[in-house]
Amino acid sequence: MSTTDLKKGSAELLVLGLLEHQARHGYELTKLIELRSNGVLSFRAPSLYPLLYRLEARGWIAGRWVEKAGERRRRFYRITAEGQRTLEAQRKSWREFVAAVSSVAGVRHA
Amino acid sequence: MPDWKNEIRARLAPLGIAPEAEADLVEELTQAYELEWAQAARLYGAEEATRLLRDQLASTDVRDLVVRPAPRSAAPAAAAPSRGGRHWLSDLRDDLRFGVRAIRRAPSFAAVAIATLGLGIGATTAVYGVIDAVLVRSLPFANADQLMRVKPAQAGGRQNLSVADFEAVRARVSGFSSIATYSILESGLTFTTDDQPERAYGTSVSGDFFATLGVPAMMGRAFTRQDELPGAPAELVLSYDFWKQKLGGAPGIVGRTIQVQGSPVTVVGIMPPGFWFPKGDLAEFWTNARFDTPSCECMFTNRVVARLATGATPARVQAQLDAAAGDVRARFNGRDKKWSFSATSMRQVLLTGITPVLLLLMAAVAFVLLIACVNVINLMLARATAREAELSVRVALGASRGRLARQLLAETSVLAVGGGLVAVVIARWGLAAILALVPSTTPVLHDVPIGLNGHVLLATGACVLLCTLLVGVVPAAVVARNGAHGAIRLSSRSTARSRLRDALVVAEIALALMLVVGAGLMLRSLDKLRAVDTGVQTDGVMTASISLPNSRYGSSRQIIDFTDRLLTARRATPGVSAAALSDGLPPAGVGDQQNFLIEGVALPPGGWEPIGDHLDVSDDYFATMHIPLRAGRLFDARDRDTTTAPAIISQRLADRFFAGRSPLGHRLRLSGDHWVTVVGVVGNVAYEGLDSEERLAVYEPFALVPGSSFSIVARSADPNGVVAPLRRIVASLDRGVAVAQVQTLDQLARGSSAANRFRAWLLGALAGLALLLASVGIYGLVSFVTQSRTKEMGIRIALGAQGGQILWTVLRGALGRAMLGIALGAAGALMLRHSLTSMLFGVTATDPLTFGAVALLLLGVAAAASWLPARRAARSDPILVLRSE
Repeated sequence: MSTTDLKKGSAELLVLGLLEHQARHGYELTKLIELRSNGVLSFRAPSLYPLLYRLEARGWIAGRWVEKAGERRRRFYRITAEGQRTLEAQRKSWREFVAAVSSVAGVRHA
Repeated sequence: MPDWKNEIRARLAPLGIAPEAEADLVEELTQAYELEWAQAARLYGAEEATRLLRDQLASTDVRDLVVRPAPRSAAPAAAAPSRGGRHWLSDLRDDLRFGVRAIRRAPSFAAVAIATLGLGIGATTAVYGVIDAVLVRSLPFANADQLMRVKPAQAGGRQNLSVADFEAVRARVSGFSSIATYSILESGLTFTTDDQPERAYGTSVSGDFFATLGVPAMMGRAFTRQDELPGAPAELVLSYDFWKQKLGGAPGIVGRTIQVQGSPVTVVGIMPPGFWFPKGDLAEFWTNARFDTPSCECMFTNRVVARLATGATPARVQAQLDAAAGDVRARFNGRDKKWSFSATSMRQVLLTGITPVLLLLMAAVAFVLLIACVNVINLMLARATAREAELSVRVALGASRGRLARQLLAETSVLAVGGGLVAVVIARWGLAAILALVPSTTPVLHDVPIGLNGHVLLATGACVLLCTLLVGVVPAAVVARNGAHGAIRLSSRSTARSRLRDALVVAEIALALMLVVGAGLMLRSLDKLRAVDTGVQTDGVMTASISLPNSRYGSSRQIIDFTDRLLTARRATPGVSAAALSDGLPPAGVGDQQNFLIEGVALPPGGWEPIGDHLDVSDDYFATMHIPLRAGRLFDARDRDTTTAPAIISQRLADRFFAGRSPLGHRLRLSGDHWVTVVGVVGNVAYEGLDSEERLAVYEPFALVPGSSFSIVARSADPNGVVAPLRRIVASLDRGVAVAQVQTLDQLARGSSAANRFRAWLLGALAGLALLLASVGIYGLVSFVTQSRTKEMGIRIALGAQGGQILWTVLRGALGRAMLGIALGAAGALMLRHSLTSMLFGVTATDPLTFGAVALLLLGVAAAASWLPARRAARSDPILVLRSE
């Protein structure tokens, strides 16, 4: 897995993870990523949308417009069944990766 | 708040998304932008927020936005086939637009970068313009590469052929499809139109001259073999410029007669514009040479041009040339010597003086261009560091590093194109300056059209491309690599990068040193040339050339009659203290060189007779020119009717052949078995240019061997004031005689070193440019380094370091780099020394004085360029510095 793949994967993982239990709109996602990573990660809206559209094109998430009285309509994204499977798979490989890194690092330090 | 909806719509428009899908997209993005803008505006202010977001929008790959399936429309699928091309184009346009905006945001950076590249590319374009005209474009002859110049080989330094030689080569060498001879009429011919005599310069040529060059007449006809027969009438072919300017472009000129040297000559043809041979200033006319059957192998005034036959091999041609030389020896009882003829490419002969100079200049501008590029790379790196946070976040989140690199490359290409535009303006000035500096003696440069044509502009374009790649790739690669570390904030300075920057500055100093050394050597040569003793006192002497028409001055008596009256009137001119005649002047050259033998001094077996400059001078010549008498006497009235022909020789001739004895009273045999007796010895004079090898001279009294062409010299406190009286005197003596080539002896002397001055000036200008650019580079680097070490400096000052210590720390680093650059540059200059040697005079290419002075100069420049930033660092307030961290 190259660095690029890892990074892309991690961005996808982040978004899928944030949508796992709740549908959210795009701007909310950017704020949550920034907040939960203590500002280490910062997604700007224009960078996020391409990612969302990619995920939607793959059928991992689905977007729909939601209108509330007195507010502008917003597009909310939720995770699909396939997205859920992908999220599990990615979490697994991420854990394996982290474990591998830690064990290598552990050996080094020992 | 800006109208994001509109801006986003405009950005998406080129993608051709189905209207409904597009409306969705625009709405969603607009919301995001509005929210984002509001937040950014709170943090940074409205203006900055707008700017930030516009950049984001510009740098978003809009194609990514349409991968989303548009559920209610099939349009994107339908549009798919045409997407590739549009993508590529719209990407490029986006990248360029982004580049332009990024540059507009940093106007001073952009101005410095564009000006730097403009100088580099402009200098390159100007020099290439000359090279293109002289070396790349063809000479104005058909298949110029087939043309050869035939010369004597191993023939004691002779350069030209006799008529007998020419005829032997013409008869023998079938490897030449065509061959012709031409003789330069050194003193020109006097044309009289409307009673106004005027001198023009050209050559006397054999029948096949124009056929050999492969250029037909534009009007009328060129010469044929009939025209070189002994009884043929004198005829003229005129250059286009001569016809237009001197004869007013009179129609029906062909077939008319004009007065030349007092006799009517028929004009048979006009050559097309732009045609010249052998030199532009010797190509006003061509007249037909008429050959009698030669009775001796003598009068070596014929230059020979030949065209190689198709399929002729050099070996076969040489064998035939050797056979022709054998024919001449057999026919004229030639001494048993192994001389022959040789053929060399005419292009090479014509370009021989200029090619190394042009290549040297090309190398010099290449150095300047490299230095300019290095400067801009350094600027870009410094800027990239400042933008690192922005760039790395974009790399971490945006799709590709490639895209980012492309955008940086686009930014560079915008700079380079800007530099290219500036360069065209600079090149225009540069070319004008070069042409103004080119000495008239330089071959070819004055004869070909030089300017910014399509060819040259193409080269400018190539430079722009080259700069884009050179300058763009390094920062793009560095940024892309560093950016890959992810969204985690990078430590802002990597050692690898600062090492790269150091290396660039070292390279810059090395390149500049090589250029400045080259220019320094040229200047030293110029200085040495200036110090050369011409052997005469050049100031306060006016010279002019006079040529008497043979029709009225056929006998010596007639010529002497004219010159006596001329000199008498000239000496009587107010302001003229002395006047004399001579058929040669220093350092413009003598028309005549002769072999000589000294009575009683045997030639070594198989050796050639020595060659001396031969001059016919009037009695007062030595006094007028201030040439000192070393032994014996000068010419005087006694020498008018004497049976023993007197001669005066130069000191060098006396030293070489009469070591220890007095040459006075000894006899010399000159060409044509003409015996003269030495009556005096005078100082050496540099007749053939200041940088010529040491030559010998023999003088004879003008009155005994008067020629119809001569120079008149007059010494005066106001040389320019005595020109008009001379014209009046000549007109009063003979209205048909022209006064030509009026110049002071100083001007002639300056003309002799013009080529050296040209090289020194041009190389000096380029070296100055290199020095300037290099000092800007050093300044930039040191400023950057001190800025990045501000904290360290602050701590040091806080811990008690003195300003002077800080200053020295900074300077030491800069000077260390400068020394390394100087050492590398000196090594490079030593490696290149051979390319310079032929252009130097009186100084070697390894001249330690020049190297030392230049090294000190560069060290000084480096110190000066580092001084300002170093002082800034030394004066920084530790409290402020530390607090800011």
